[in-house]
Amino acid sequence: MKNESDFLVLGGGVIGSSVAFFLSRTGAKVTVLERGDTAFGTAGASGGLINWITCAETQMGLFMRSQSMFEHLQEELGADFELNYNSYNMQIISNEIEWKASEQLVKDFKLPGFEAKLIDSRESHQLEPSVTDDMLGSIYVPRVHYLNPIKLALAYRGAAERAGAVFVNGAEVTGLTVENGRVVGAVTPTESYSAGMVVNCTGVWSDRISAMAGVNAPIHPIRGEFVITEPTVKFCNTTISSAQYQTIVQHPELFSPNAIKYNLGFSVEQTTTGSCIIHGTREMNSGLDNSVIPEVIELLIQTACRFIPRLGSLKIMRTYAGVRPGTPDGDPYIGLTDAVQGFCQCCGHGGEGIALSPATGEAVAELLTEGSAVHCDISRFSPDRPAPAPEV
Amino acid sequence: MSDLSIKDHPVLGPAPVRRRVTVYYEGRPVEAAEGETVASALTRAGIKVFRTTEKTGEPRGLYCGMGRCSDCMMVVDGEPNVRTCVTPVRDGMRVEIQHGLA
Amino acid sequence: MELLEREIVVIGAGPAGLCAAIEARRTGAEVMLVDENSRPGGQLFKQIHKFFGSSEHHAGTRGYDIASELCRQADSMGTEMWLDTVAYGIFPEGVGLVKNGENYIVKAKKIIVAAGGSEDPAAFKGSTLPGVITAGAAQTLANVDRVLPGKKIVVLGSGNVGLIAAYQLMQGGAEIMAVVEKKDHIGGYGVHAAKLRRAGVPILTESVVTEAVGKDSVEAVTISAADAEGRPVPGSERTIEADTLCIAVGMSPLTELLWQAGAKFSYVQELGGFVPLHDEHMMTTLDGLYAAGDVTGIEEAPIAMEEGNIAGISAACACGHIGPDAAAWLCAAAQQRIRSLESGSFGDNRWAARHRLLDSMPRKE
Repeated sequence: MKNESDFLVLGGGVIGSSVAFFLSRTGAKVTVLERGDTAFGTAGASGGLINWITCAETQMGLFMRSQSMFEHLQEELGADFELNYNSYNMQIISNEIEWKASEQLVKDFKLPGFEAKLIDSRESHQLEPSVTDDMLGSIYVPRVHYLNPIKLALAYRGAAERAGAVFVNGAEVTGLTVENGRVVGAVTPTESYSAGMVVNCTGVWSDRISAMAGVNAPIHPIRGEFVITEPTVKFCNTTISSAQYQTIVQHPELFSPNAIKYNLGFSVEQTTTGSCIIHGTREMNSGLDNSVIPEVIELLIQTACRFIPRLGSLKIMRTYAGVRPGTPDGDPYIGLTDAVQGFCQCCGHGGEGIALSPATGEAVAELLTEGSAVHCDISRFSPDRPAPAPEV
Repeated sequence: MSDLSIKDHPVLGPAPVRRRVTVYYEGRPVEAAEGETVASALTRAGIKVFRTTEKTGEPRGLYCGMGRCSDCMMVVDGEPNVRTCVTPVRDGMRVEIQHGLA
Repeated sequence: MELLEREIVVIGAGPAGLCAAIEARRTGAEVMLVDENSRPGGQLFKQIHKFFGSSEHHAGTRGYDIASELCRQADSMGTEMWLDTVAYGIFPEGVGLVKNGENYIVKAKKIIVAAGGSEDPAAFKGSTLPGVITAGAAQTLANVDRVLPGKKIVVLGSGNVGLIAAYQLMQGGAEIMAVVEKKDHIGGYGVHAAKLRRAGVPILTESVVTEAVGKDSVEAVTISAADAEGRPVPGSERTIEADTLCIAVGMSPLTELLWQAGAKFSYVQELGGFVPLHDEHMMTTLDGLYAAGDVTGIEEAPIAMEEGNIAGISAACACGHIGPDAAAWLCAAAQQRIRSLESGSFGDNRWAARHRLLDSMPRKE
């Protein structure tokens, strides 16, 4: 029958596309509803960095599984998403306080096979000649990867479509069809769709979809802004960031008011076209507004030029912002809920959607086709977990 | 001046006398009129190739004349990505073909 | 970043922007006029032909003289002029400007965007060769800096821009090898075409350029006959010697600032593509943001000037410098003049398009 499938995936971003791929790989009939086009939401405004040292402890399982999946994912999906695997991240240390904090971080955050180390200014400049001389050294973080997030979402989609999935663009979900405590489908302004299971992958907008199912799953939007420069010859081999994010809370006096206000965790990388992406704010009061703020753009540029002086000679091509789907406890909602049948949550990945997409898609597909996730324990992400205690 | 110069014009009249300056294209001196753009000076001297593309090395030259298309970009006094169609000449200016990206 | 406050900011000092500034200044409003070029006047300063229309529209006056006169007026009326200044965005916080490497955010009561238009590209084999330039670039070279882009020139496009540019290059001493037009009729005014024909320039209708030939620059141009859809007819190619190919295939409004600000648009073929919705006061769908001139639709300088007048008066009225009745009277007179300009076979469908646009403007409750 028309518009009927085994699984109806809501949202065609990196998470929705990944879920669609892993589900269709099992032979199930999958339909994806996306109100714009692939990666029109947060995935289209992301940095594309996969960095273990900034991953929350609770998400380490999904992260580690994802990162080993990434190694061969281009082959598996039959597509090139500009994966730079096993590169490194260099976090510039500007002062003694940051140095001490970095020493502690490197000690605390050791994982088997994943060890960061502190290197001095000379060694830092050997790796990245363009960084400022005004630094003590840096944290060298190996086994960091990066990719083109839009191409990743398109890669999942292409592979899903080859496995039989149907992606519908321009299909904004305006309601869910709920019968006898079970979600049986969704409606758009022009069509209705039914499925045995509806999977909510709508990221920043997922709380609205959850509400349509009678489920309370709050989303805390966190905006991040970007500046893209004109293309230039390759001068930057990796993602260069600053170790300042570790000390910004304990030592606000070391930072400009705007760096505090916009929660700056600055970083720069150079894409394959030669343009540099400068980004790194975490704005907690943005709501869903994805406009850029002039003083944030200035903050990003001034910080970038401070750490990599030669960026100052480049022109800005464009600026944009994306909104991350944060949650009250910082973890995504993944799994079924007692509140309603036929509805699986897979949203709220905050700033880790790209990094966690492979294992997330795999886990959801395993859960929904085999009864439980096999490679990762996703029970802690249950949508029915207690809400965190309110902050005093 | 080469014969691309418009010395007497039916509407504009005779060319106003302007101070002559010298710019250097790939090391070679090119006479220019003070106040005109680098692109105009090079065009008058019959020079058409301003830069070459990054991937295929193809020649590019003046196109839109209003600072929007970036085809006329050259390395001027060591600085790359200078839009020569909106940059006035200066005596002694060094202008080089920009090969590829800045 | 320096924060400034102004009453009315006009972006773009071409004919529309200059007239907006002049009319607003006339009411006593404070006006800051911004342009990315080092001289104001927009495209007018390179136009050497005499303008048509009525005496109110400076008929019989050459473009660059109109530009000088408008600049003189704006200046003598105390307009605050910022040249070599790029307006890079319109934010809720204000207009973002960069001048001399300094960043300014200018909070304004009213903003008028008069950013003009730019020429459309044409793509075919060899279209990126040096020697392929826009008609506008050719006019700037010839009419401002007194240098010909080449000696043997083919012009692609027989609209007014192509015809006028061809004639101006001829006046400068170039040989116009051909004007190539894909439709079966000439796009511009007959009077311009006649001047070219009298000089022996072939105007080839139902023809297209299929290749610009040359190693490092244009050495020849290949022209084919075109079918009803404008596609080249195989076997009809002929190659003529040329060192320059001028592209005059149309213009589109430069609307990035309005898109970025969030104004709503509509696609209108007759006006050059995507144009911002606006009311009869030239105000867009964003309160306090006006648009005037080619940015609202590609037309001619006299119309740009009238739209600038309407926007300037309306913005000044909204700031309380002129009463609504006086403003309405002045704007109605400008609308009348636009109607008389948008008449005849060329103007009627633009007048109709203008009205369709006004009708699609969402009405405030």
